[in-house]
Amino acid sequence: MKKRALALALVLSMTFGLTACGNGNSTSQGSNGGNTTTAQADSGSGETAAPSQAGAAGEAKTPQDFKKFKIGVMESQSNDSTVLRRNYYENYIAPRYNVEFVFSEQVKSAEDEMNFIENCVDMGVDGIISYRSSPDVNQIIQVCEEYELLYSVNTTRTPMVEDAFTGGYQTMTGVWGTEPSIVSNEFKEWIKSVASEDGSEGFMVTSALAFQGNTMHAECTQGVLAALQDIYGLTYEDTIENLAATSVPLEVPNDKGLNIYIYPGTNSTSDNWVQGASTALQTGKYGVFLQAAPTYGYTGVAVDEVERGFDMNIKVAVNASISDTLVTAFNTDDKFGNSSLDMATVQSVSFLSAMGFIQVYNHLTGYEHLNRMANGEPAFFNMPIWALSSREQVNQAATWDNAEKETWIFNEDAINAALGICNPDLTNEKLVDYYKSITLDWVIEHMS
Amino acid sequence: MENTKENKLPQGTRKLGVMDHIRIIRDKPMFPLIFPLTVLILIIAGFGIATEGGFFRKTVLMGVFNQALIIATVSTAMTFVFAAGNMDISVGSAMAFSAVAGVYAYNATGSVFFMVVVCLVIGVVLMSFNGFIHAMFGVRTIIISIVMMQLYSAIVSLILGPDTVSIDYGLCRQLENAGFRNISFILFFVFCMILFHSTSVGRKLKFVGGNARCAQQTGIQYKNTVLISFAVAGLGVGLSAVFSIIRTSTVGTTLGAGMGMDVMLAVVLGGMSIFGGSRSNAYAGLLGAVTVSALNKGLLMCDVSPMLIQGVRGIVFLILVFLNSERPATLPSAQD
Amino acid sequence: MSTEHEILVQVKDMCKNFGVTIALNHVDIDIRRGQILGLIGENGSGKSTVSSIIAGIQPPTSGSMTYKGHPWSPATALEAARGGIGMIVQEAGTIGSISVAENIFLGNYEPFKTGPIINKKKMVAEARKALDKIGVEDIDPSLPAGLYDMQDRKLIEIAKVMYHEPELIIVDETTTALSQKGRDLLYKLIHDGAQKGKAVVFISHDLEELMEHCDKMTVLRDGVIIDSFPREQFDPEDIKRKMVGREISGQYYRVDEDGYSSQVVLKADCITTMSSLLCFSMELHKGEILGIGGISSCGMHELGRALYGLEDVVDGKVVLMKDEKVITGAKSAFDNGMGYVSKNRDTESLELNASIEANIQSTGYKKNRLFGPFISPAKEKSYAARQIETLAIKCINGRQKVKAMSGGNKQKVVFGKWIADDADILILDCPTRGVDVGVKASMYQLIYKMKQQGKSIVMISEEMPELIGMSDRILIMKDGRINGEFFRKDGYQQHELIECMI
Repeated sequence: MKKRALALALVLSMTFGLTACGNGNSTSQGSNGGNTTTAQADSGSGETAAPSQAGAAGEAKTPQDFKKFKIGVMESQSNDSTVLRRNYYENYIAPRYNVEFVFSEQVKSAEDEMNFIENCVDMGVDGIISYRSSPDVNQIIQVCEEYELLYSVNTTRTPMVEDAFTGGYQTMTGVWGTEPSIVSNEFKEWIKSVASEDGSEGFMVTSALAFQGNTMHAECTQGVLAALQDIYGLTYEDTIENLAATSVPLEVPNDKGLNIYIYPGTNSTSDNWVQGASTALQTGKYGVFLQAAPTYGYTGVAVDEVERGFDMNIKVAVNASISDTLVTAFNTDDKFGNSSLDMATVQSVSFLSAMGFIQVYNHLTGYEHLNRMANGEPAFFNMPIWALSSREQVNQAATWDNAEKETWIFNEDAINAALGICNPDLTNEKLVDYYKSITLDWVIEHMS
Repeated sequence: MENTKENKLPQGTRKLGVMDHIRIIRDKPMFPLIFPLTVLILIIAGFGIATEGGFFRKTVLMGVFNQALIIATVSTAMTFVFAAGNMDISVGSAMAFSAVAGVYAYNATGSVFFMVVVCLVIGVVLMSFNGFIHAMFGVRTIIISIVMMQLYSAIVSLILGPDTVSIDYGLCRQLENAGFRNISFILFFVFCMILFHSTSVGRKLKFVGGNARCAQQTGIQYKNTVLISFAVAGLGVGLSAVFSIIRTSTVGTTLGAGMGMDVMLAVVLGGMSIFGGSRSNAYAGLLGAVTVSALNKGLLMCDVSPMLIQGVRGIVFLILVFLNSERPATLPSAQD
Repeated sequence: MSTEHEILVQVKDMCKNFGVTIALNHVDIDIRRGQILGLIGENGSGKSTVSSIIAGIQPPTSGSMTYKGHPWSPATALEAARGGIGMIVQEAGTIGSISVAENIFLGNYEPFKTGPIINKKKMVAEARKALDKIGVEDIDPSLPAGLYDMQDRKLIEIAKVMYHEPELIIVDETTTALSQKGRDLLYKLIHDGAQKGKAVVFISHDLEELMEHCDKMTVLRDGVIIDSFPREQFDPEDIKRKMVGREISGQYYRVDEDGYSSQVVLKADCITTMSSLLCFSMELHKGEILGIGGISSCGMHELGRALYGLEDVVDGKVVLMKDEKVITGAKSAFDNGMGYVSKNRDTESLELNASIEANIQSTGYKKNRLFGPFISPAKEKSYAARQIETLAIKCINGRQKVKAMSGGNKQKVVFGKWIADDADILILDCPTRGVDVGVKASMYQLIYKMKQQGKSIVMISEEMPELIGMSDRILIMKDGRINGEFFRKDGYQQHELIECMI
């Protein structure tokens, strides 16, 4: 009996410790327990603020003129970025714009999405910002339409989600994300700059969730394969699209016999993902390592070991967001005194998150026309990304999107410039251009 | 026959302490039902208070039930397998396989009936296969299921790739609104309860799980009994595949991932041991699944952060498992 | 011989509780040098408990002990052993995979170590000495203990204990596991020990054995000392009565000379099994109690299993004569009205974690149906309740788990399930092993009653008195064959039977 009690006590303290750690970044300001939304919920389901509330092109209003909207945030991963985003939403956006956020746990399947949406409906949520890009989008929009819940998702307009655009759904606010071709271009350029004459160093790509339909990851992987094809004049035995979508590790056969290895998945899709990646690296066959998702935290150790063991300099490029992990990685020296990361295509978490919020908020406040293209279909907003390739650049970037100091790249002014309530004569085209104008130079200028 | 009717406690026993009273209560026959049910009611009541009545709304409670359906179906069926002391974690992959087959069946014939039949048949075939290998070759069920899990999910990945397959969403909503899933589940649940508790099937399974050699000596054949349990499990898997299809109208490679563990958790929370034996019953799966679902929904509605939700969930599970696993101490073997 | 000897161990006012149950209730015992003290009592009387406390295996709940005049409270069995208390137990205590010598010096390798290396030769030589000391010649200390049978392994344990020249030797129910040769060896040891001034505590069920070898006998019942008798005053009836606490009405075994029918109900037709039986044949008649005896390894246990279909019969067949049905497995045996009580009660006859009711009801799944495949809970309940009542099974109610019951009560549950099943042919393997006297008597009466009802019983037993007392006919087996057949009407002579066995 005593032993059991002791065991229980130990496990309890461990659990508490872990959750406290995990919760460390975000303060609990945003979670007001027990707020009822019965009054609003009784009216059936989340309602879009009736267009009649705001005059379509009427006077500017303030967020306080509206009811307190409730927005659900659906996350498909659980990493630095999601923690940062939560902080941004709860501590920066929520108080300023009179909104409340509800966060999901890691959503891994269509059923998880359904559960979260149903729970949101029960809580009287008005709209969903989803960070899960998958073919299920077509189904999910139908569900949201039925519950009269706004739906906005972080993806690009690909054939996979085409139905959501053409189905005439009222609650579909549109999508936003980075044209994967931009990322893959950056990867291409970078490979061209570091690759050798004969490609003998070998190339490894972690394709992350490409096999599940994540367009960003798929395009990154495709970009790498296309770049290699260009540089070395390769012929593959299958189409680049198919190769990139492989669900099992694949040594890509090519006519020049170069070592090209595609390794799918992330540490959350399988328990021994990290081991598999390490094993592949430890063969020493790959001198260039590209990662389509921010998995460098898990592979960093393996890379370092291989560099020491084989006395070779592995060049690493990742597609990531600005975060503490990224900064640390860039500032860590490898055996040769270089940065352990050589290039990162980064998105700003605040930029990405703000765009999602803006999309839903405009719709809620009666400015849904900002989310519609000329032909009436939901819009796609492209978000620029930036390629950082030096320690100095990254350290500078680290000062941006900082939660403690509240120095967000996409701050209140930046947001207001995109809101209908602050700029009644904004149009969809102007908004698109606005986002495009946020380049690295813009950021450097605004953040100093 | 000499008369030694000493139905009172034998002379010299001391007064019962707290732990003894707890043990006596735990041995009462209705305990396995009352205790988890009480916990569930307490959890619902707790959330109801915390959300100031929000949790008690009909849509919310129905939602709890709905979200629990899939796990509840498989768990109810799996109590048959667990009762005999076996385990199977391939249920998730088997369900995915079954669902894929069902979707193709529907898209080929347009018949919901045909889809249901295909799902059920495939479910039964897959699970019975596991049971067959075990009965024939004596390989432990946990090993078989680990292997088959990989196999089934590899096949599903192969067929689907990165895509998903789907059927008409409108049809699914119709079926859902007509209460198809709810009614089917209730029918299946009643069937399982009758089969387990009112026929010899459940008793035989429990005996096999408690002491297989003793069961053999009372004429219970291990092979036949276990095969039946896997066939029932297959029915549950097939039915839950149908439910999955109807719920989201799509099937992807992520379907059923981790279900093996979810089922075990549900069964344990429902008050049954996953090692089977005399404390097994057919309702633990439903109780446990609904408890998990209520916890998830309730914690979210209370604005608890997702990371904290995991922690709280873990603690609640631990406590419940801890309470369920106490065994009465026995006298040393010198007694014999 | 009742000259006062010096007290070696004294137990004062000792109590021991296990949860709700009191195993020892303010017990006082004096153990003297040069004296063989017998402790006798039913199961649960506390005799093993008190000796295990003296030997340091478990601590008392309250009370005190002195050893050689000083306070004695050993923390572990090892400490007690080093102090000079040697205990030989009933259960197997050797490890089969290591050598005999390693077993004898288990936990005591220090004297043979030079640095980290163990000098095996030296250990074997010492082991040889230890075995010689107790008079065992044919065990090779360098071989793995697993090569020897249970009896020899018990002798190894005895050698281990005796090597350390204990002052107090405790023998706890050991003799049941030994062959005659082993028993003689043990008796010689304890008598020699007593002569040399050591003290001996001899614990057994077997009244006759104790009466023969002990100087003094103490009777325990329900954790309390009832009485003590010096050798001159040994009176078996009185002792039995004190053990049980009440009059044992009627005779112990049967007194009748009823015969049995000539109709054969079960036949083993030249059956050969995987290990012990080679073309073995026998017949069982209606209304017969057929006793089967022999030494432990003669194959009679396997015969019992084969008759019930639990053992692979590779040649020949077991036939139920009623429908000329061949028994192919336990299910066919069960379905055709046969029952089997295994000698491994806890592992084979009962589901320990299930309730008394559930165990009894396990034979009634077909019988208790209401209609179709559906079982009637009411029928099931009375099925079990009837047995609990007629067999007087001691319990709070039928839902109690079998696990915590005493051996006798457990066996009642086992009998209960077969009686409820109304089996026509019952195969009993060591049915009264580990059962106390009172319950034994009632079982014998039960068996006799079943015979009168026309049922046929095969009783396999290692207890000669039981076979002699109960059987209509006795088959003595040796090395897988029938070595002798004896009939009740001719009168049984124990020495004849024993000669057949060896």
